[in-house]
Amino acid sequence: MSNSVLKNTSLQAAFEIVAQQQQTFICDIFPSEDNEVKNEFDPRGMAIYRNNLLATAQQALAISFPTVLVLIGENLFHYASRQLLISSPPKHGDWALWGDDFPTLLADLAQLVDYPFVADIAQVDLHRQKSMRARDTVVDRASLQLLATHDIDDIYIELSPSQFVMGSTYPVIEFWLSHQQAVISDTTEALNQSFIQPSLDKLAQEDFFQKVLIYRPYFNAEIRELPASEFAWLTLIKQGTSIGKAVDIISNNDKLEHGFDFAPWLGLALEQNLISRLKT
Amino acid sequence: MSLQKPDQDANSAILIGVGLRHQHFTEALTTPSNIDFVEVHSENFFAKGGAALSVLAQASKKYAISLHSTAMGLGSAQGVPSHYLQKLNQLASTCNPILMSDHACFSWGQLNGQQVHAGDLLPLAYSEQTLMVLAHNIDRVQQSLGRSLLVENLSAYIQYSHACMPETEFLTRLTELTGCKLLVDLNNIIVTANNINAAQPLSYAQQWLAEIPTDLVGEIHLAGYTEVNEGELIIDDHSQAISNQGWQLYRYALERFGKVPTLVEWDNNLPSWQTLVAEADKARAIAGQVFDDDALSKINMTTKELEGEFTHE
Repeated sequence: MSNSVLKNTSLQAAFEIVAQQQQTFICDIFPSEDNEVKNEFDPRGMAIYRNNLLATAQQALAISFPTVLVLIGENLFHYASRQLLISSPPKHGDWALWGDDFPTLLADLAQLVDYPFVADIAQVDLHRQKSMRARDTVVDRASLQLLATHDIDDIYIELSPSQFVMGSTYPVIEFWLSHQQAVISDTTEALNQSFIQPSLDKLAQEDFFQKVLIYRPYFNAEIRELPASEFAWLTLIKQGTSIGKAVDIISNNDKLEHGFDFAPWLGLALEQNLISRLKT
Repeated sequence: MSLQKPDQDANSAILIGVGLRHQHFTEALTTPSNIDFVEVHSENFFAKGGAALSVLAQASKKYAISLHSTAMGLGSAQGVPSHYLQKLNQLASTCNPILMSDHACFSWGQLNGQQVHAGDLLPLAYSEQTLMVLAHNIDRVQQSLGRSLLVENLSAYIQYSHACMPETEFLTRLTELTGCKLLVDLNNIIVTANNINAAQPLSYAQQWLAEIPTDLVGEIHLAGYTEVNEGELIIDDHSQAISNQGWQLYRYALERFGKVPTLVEWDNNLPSWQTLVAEADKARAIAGQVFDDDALSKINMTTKELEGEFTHE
């Protein structure tokens, strides 16, 4: 065998030996249903690594899901964080990217069976966090000229990466807004008038389904309710439907009580940074 | 490959920096100070856009930037994932850091056949095999970045029974194998000395430094830790002012390694920006004494006050 082959073999062997050692260590510090740690190390030291992992996970989720923390309280939030470490351990080396499965975990949590809307609130938090980390975009104004030179059947919209659409059978916008730091100190009467009564009114509606837009005009992500026609519009645009065809589909949809007018929407979209550019 | 770092000849001033954390963004950008550079945790700026990157862009106009990574897991037998390196490369290209560093640790592994990141700086066994793994990974990272890394010593909470060389020998040989330099965290040495029940933690730490060749240190970290009860392990929590022992060790380190860029780290229980800057001023004053230059004239700290720092030991 040549020197380089020997060197590679030796390196491969080293990686295998070290991988085995490190694998044992990783398994010992991640939480599991079986909490007992059996290894050669000082249990005080292992406890530090385990606690660090849990504390960092809790802190990371608290940053990504601040409204959920306020809603369910620290104890349940910490329990849920530990459960997420077990079911969906981090894999990116960037804690901000951990937590995509948190809404689903909350939806399945026995302690929240009477509060099914918490999972949808988690989805709002998650979309806001993703929105605020999305690529900064300023609309390509030159691309708007396509409206003057091309048929709208041939023009498509590239939406801004910082906007997200979701739906819920609960009035999540009212729930979410009522748990923000700026309003939780309001009086009971103010909270009732601003959020609780509107929420109850909406819940009383048959087949209530709230359509939600999360968008980022500048650095802070905003949230607003979408009319059914705009929700349908954004869904079509996301699917790659041209402007002209999307307008036709919505106009011919008898279920949409209010029509859709593209021109004012474009003004709103520019104001709220919803689109990156037009394209053919 | 050469480390892109400031001139350290005898006539140049020592560079003193502080860790820049979210809570201090506004004051760091708007308050005058003597700070030469700020260190940020790379992963906090891995987003594609948003406010944090904007702050970093503004900070880089006022200060030199040091990118300190905490998640590369350089000693991982799983290797450092390409997706991580791509983000680090992208970030480095936007802020042109004067220093780039991470730790002699591992972080990546597998659970149930899936890659996981442990979210922590996990300790390495100081063995020949680990040295090969760490050196191989560092070489790959340096090739990818096109520059040398600084590699930081850890605080120890456990000891491997199969370690076959001292930490200082391990780190020295690492520099020989890879061309990297060391980021010597003085607080980590003191924490380790206490956790292994060294009879004289300061003497242990000075001996540790004495075993490191004088030309291998590219940066020094200063930090403080929360005192614990007897029998408990100290956690490297970066939550307090630098201890008296830390300052004494810093003086010793400067005498041994020369005008090495120095950073004050404070991550938890954050003080005011002014308090943090005052810690950096204290470091500058000590450097002024060690190198007998005019640094002391820049700050409001007398020799008597400085000496007072060391009289409580």
